[in-house]
Amino acid sequence: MKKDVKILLESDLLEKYLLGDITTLEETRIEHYIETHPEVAERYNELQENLEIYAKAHAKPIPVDIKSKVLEIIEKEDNHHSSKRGMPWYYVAASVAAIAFAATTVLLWNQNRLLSTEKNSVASQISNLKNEIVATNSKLQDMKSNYAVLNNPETKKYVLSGNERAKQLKTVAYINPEEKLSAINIVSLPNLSEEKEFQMWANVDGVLVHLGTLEKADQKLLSLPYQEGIKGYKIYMVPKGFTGEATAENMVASIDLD
Amino acid sequence: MAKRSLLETQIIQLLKDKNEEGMSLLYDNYGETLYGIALKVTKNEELAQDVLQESLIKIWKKIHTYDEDKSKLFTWLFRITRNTAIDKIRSRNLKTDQEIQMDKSNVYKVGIESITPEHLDLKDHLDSLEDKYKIVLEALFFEGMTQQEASDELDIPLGTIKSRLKIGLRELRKIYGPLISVLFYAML
Repeated sequence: MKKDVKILLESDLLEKYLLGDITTLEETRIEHYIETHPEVAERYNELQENLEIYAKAHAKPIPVDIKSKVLEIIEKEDNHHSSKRGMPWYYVAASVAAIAFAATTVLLWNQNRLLSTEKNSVASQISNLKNEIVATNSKLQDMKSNYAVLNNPETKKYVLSGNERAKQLKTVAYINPEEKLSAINIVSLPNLSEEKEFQMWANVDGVLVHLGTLEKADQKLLSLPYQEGIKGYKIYMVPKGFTGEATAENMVASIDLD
Repeated sequence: MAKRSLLETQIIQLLKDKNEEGMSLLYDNYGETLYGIALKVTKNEELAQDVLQESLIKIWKKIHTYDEDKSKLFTWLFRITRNTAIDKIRSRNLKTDQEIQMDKSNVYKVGIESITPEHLDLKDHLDSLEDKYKIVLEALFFEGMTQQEASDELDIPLGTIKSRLKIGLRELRKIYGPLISVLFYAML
C-alpha cells in the first residue's frame, strides 16, 4: 500500500467525507483517491454500510403522518414548476412567433377577403355599367334612327286610325324606303280586357309578317322592323299570345303604302 | 462503487423521474431511520418532524444533484437530514450548553420497537459496541458536533476523538459485518 494511501486511511478524512463535513479541496482529493485506489473505495463503502446500519438501529416510528404532507407539498410544487418552469425561452419565443404569424395570417386573410369582396363588387358594378352603356347606346341608336327617320325628307307619314271596334286607336307610322328605316308612334290605344291585345302585322308581298304587340308607350317613337316589299301595315285585336293567322274580323286598322 | 440494491436503484430512478411513487417508497423504507436521525440531533419530536419534512422536500428538489457514483443513497439522505437538523437547531437558537451536552442515558434508550428492519435485533448488536465509541459516534453522527466540539464537550483530546471514531466505525463493521449481506439481500 502506498504511503499516502496509508496516511489517508489512518486519518479521519474518509469519515469526515462520509458525513459531508469536509472542505471542497479535501473532497476533491478524497474523491480522487476513491476513484484511483480500490482499497480506499472499499474502506469508504464499508463506512457507508456501517453508517446505514448504525442509523437504522436508531430508527424511530414517526408519530404523525408526514408522508401525506410531503406528497401533497411536492405535488403542488411540481404543478407550480411544470406550469412555470417547463417553458424554456425558445418555447416562449416560438409560441410568440407562432401567435404573431397566426395573427398576421388571419389579418392578411381578412384583408384579402375584404379586397376580394370589394373587387367582386367593383367588377359587378363595372359589368352593370357596361350593360347600361350598351343599353344606353342601343337606346341612343334607336333614338338616332328614329329621329333620322323623322328628319329625313324622304320619310313618309302614315296615320293608322282604328275602325269601329277600336275607335280610340291612333298610331302614326314613319317609313323611309330609301334608308330602309321605319318607326311608329302610338298616339292612343283603347283599353282592352286582359285576355286581348293589339298585334301589328306587315303585308310583305302579300304575306303577313308579325311585327309585335302594341302597348301604350306614352307617345314614344318606337323603331319598327323594316322589310323590303312592305305593301302595308295592319293592326289586329286578337286574344293574348295569339300566333295564328289573323282574319279580317279581327283587324281594327289598316294602311296601304304607296 | 458501492453495491446497490434493486430497491435503492428503483427509488433513485423514480425520484429522478419526479415520480411521487419514489418519494412514497423512500418514506416507507428510510422514513423512520431519517426521523431517528432528526430526533437524535434535535432531541425534540416536533422539531424532528419538521426536520424530516424539510429533508424529504430537499431530497425531492435536489435529487438531480445526487451522484450515484459518489455515494450510496442512504449516505446522501443521511447528510441532508443531519445538516437540516443541525441548521434547524442553530436557527432556533436551541444549541445551548444544556442541549448539546451529552445525555449519555439516551445512548442506551434505543427501544426494540424503533428498529428496522424489524426482524433484525440491531439494538443488541449496538449495545455490544463499547460506550466510549458509542458516545463519540453519537456526538459526531447525531449531535451535530464537529470533532473539535466533541472534544471540548466530552473533554476528550481531539486525537482520541479521531481514533475512537475510526475504531468505533471499524468495530461496527465487525459487529454488523455478517448482517450486512443479510440486510442487502433483504432489500432486494
